[in-house]
Amino acid sequence: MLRLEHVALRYGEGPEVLRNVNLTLQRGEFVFVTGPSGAGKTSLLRMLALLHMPAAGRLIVFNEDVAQLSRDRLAAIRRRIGMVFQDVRLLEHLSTFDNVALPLRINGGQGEQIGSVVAEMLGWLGLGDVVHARPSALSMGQRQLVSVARAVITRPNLLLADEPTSNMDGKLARRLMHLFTQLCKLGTTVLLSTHSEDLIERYPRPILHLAEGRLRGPTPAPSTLAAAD
Amino acid sequence: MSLRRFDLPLRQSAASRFLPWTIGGLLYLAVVALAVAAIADEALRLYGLRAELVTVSLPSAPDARRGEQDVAQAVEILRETPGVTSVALVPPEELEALVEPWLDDFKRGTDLPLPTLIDVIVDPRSPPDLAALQERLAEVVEGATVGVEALSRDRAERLAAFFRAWGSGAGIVALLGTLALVGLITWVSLRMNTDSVELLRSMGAPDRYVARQFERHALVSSAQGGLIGCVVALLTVMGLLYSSRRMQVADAVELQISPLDWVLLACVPVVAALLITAVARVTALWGLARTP
Repeated sequence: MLRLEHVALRYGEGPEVLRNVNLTLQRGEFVFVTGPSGAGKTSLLRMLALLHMPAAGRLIVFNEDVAQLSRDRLAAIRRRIGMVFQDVRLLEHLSTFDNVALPLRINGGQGEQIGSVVAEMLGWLGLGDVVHARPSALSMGQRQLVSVARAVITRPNLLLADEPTSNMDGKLARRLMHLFTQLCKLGTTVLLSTHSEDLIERYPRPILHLAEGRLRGPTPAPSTLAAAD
Repeated sequence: MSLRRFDLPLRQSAASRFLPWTIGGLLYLAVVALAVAAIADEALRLYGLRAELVTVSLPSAPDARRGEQDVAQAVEILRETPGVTSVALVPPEELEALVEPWLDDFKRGTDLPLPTLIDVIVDPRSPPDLAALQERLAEVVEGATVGVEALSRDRAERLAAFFRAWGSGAGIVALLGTLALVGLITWVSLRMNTDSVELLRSMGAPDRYVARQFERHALVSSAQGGLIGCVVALLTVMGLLYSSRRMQVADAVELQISPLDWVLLACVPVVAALLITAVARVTALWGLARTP
């Protein structure tokens, strides 16, 4: 469902931030993306979210070569992808509810149908009492949860999460990882970028290691630790 | 989709916040300028209806024979002049009747020299150059004049034509300025909201969905600002017309706007809102097409 063949990425006329990346992921796979700061983790996820087009190579998402697609078709593919941005990126003028409901509205969802789905999701994530609050009134952890809720509300086929647990305490992070693994069982492919050794050890999954724009892996999951979910 | 709720924070930037007021101000100028053009156009129409009769005055000649010669020459020139449709001498009795209220007893029994008056009907669609006509007549009959009222009317007509052209031009410039401003603010807003736009696109929003945000924002802004600007402009025009009547600014015709022009002026904010919406949409789509 996701294939990268000799893919390179550069911003404008700048140097390549990703080089000769080859990767194949199947439906329902869950992999970690690790690497030092500046290695290209965010660039990789943004490219997989189709926010940047490869400078070279082939990027095939849901069996379609993105270089051949019209803008409308690209938008349709993006609707099947959930993206958790590292900088959370909530719309400050909208309530928690409206932030989470946004992908459903873009997908053409209607009032009552959206209301019940969003309320259920916010309740499950423990955000039931901040439904009408603006993001500025939320804690950093809550903001990150809202960002995750927004990414998964449409139950995407591909979930790209850039450091989603970086501002969360252990309990909240475990809750979030439980959500991701449940989605994975339902068929969502998950790529999760993280610096957290603890997370990688607790949740044994294949690891993609990025260094200076080059991808190594996926390496097998650490076998010494049991899954916490 | 609510008209009040925007996915993008378009109402948060200073430029966007003042957009309704800026649109209101520019549409106020446009409506007032177009109203001036409409007033001038209506005045020209009324002048056209009234400018058919021109009076030519020939001074009294030293003797009857010379007087007859002067009249014959003047009538010949008038008949040869393009745009003159008929020439008729004012009978002496009618002339005496005209001056009687002022001269009364003094006139009777005296041989007071009276000018010869010639009524000239001109074609309002292609009237002759009255100043040139007067010059030509004066070359043949010294002291011949074309009716003063007609000459001043001629100047007033030129003034009205000037205001019609100026008003139309200024109105169109104000409208174009409004559209240019909306295009600029849309483009700036697009640049200022790059992250939010990218967020919507990451969720699968097609360009037309994102463009609709800017389009709706422009529509709401133009509806608010345009309505206020237009109402204030129409009140200003009504005040101008009322005061012009009180002060009798124009003596030849009454300054007014035809019912059709009132309707057209009231339609300016509606047409402007449609154009503004279209400009915002096109600008947003143009800007979005330049993103990956």
